[in-house]
Amino acid sequence: MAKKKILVADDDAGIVDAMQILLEDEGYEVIVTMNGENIFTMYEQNPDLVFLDIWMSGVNGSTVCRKLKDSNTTRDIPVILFSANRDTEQIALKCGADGFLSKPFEISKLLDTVKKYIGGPDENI
Amino acid sequence: MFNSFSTYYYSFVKIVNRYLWSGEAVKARPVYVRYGFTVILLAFITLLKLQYFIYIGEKTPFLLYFGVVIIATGFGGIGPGIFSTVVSALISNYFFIPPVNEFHFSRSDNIQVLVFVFECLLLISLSGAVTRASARARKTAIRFHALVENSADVIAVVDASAKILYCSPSVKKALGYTVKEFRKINGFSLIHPDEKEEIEHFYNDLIQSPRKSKSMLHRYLHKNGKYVWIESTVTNLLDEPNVQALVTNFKNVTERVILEKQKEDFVGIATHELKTPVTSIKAYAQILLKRFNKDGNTAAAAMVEKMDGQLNKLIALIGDLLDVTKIEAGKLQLHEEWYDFNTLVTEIVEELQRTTDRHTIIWKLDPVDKIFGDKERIGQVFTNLISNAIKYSPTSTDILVNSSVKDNTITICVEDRGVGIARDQHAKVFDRFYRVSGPGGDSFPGLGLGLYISHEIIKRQGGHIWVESEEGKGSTFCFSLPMDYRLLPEEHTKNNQEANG
Repeated sequence: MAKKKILVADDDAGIVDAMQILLEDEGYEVIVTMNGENIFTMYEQNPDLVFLDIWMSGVNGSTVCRKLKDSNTTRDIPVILFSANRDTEQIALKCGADGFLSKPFEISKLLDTVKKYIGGPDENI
Repeated sequence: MFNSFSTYYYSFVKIVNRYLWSGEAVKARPVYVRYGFTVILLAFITLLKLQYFIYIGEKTPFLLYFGVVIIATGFGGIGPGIFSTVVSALISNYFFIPPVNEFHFSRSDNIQVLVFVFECLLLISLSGAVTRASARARKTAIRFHALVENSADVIAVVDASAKILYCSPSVKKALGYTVKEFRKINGFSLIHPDEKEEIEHFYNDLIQSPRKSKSMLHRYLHKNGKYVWIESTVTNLLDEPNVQALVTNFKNVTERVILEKQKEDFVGIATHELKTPVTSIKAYAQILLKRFNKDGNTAAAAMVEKMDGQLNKLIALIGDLLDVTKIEAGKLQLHEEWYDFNTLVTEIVEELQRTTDRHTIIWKLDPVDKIFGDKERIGQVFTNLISNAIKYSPTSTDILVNSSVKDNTITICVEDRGVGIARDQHAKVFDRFYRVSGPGGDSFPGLGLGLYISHEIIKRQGGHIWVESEEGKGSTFCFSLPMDYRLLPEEHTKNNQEANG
């Protein structure tokens, strides 16, 4: 059975790289983009979960989040808004995101969040 | 009718004040003018009296000469006063005291003249006193007038219906209008529509509270069509009999507000930019920690764990910087909900216990229902108190946490046996940038922001924070919170912005 696929969208190379290593170490498949406009084409690869930064260069993450949650094809894929903004939770609530994660984060918190929405890398929930 | 009479009366008083009883004006007049005026006045009155001898000369020889003396003194000072006295006495003796048209010095004549002279001398000294007093009053008035007219702040006097009674010329600089233009404007019509209702409410409130003073910051339409930020203070002196108005002073603080906004934006961006690399450093550190643990390299793992602990301190500092900026701008937002206080405290205690081997946190909590407030912020305050207890007790081990519930208020205290704080410093510990000095006078590291932010957070949620401490014996920091601060009267939770204007 295919592994769970997580899409990470963030404009910071360090964060994207670290997230990829972290999540791959846990056994998930990770696809990444550093360009907010790419996100809709990335959806063609059918991710199971999306981490979306609020402040992406050129694109407002909460607008992207809103679009994803308004469209029939993308609505059902959980979106976790993550940002260094203290008001991440409120922004996430407003744009219809499924969850939020404040930067910087503890690895345990990240993995808890992932498990909450899609379970382990091979689990079917 | 009465109005026009009083207007005339006041202009008369003004003229009298300007031309008589004004010390400086008297000194400014040349001697010949002062004496010349006195002579003309004497001549005029004497001719008048001779003309109407039967009515004002025959039986009242000195009538009108008192007036001459008063006016001569007021106009020319003491010299012309005495001069007019002597001349009037001689004229009266010659023309008006029978037998007329000759000088005569009988006993009764001399007494009459002496009484007249004595009375005149009294008048002259009285007139001198009036001159000095009025000069002083004028000087004070002029000084205050100059103060008000040249003040950089605009000073205005407004009546209860918001009609502008007086406004200083600096209004031109603040709002672009001349005093004349500004006085024709209804004060409320230029307030930014977003703030109009609030300001009207504020104003009506103030009218009801005599002697109260209120400050506010709002936008006002400048003559150039742009909105400017105005900071004003209004004092209600409606019940002060000599004022019966509202006195306001205000200034254009647009530049300052823009600068503050820029600073705020800058700190917002800067903290975000700082957090971004810290996020990846922290993530990498945790990846390393996991991998070292997996490989059984405990020495390396321990080092990375310490690195992670240091990173957390750095993250807290970045957070503090952002919080202070928000507090200063009155924009610290609370995200409120009902939360379990004891669970929050327990989680924090357990987490912080993991960061220290040397200290033992001993805690005992009273059972408590859920309370309403910003859970994260209260957690931040509690974390701050425990971290401080750890930081400032380098040589002792126990940290005690106790909570109690009474009258719908929860109180929690964090007690350490550390360096303590001298009594005279207790009031200062919640100030911005305050830092505790160590035993050797060297200070502990830190920005001195934690307790300031904590104080702000607790205050905003209707609570209190305080310290009991003795130098060398340790400190106890406590805070109390109402179960639901929304039930408190409004002034308990005033936020920064309202307090500052």
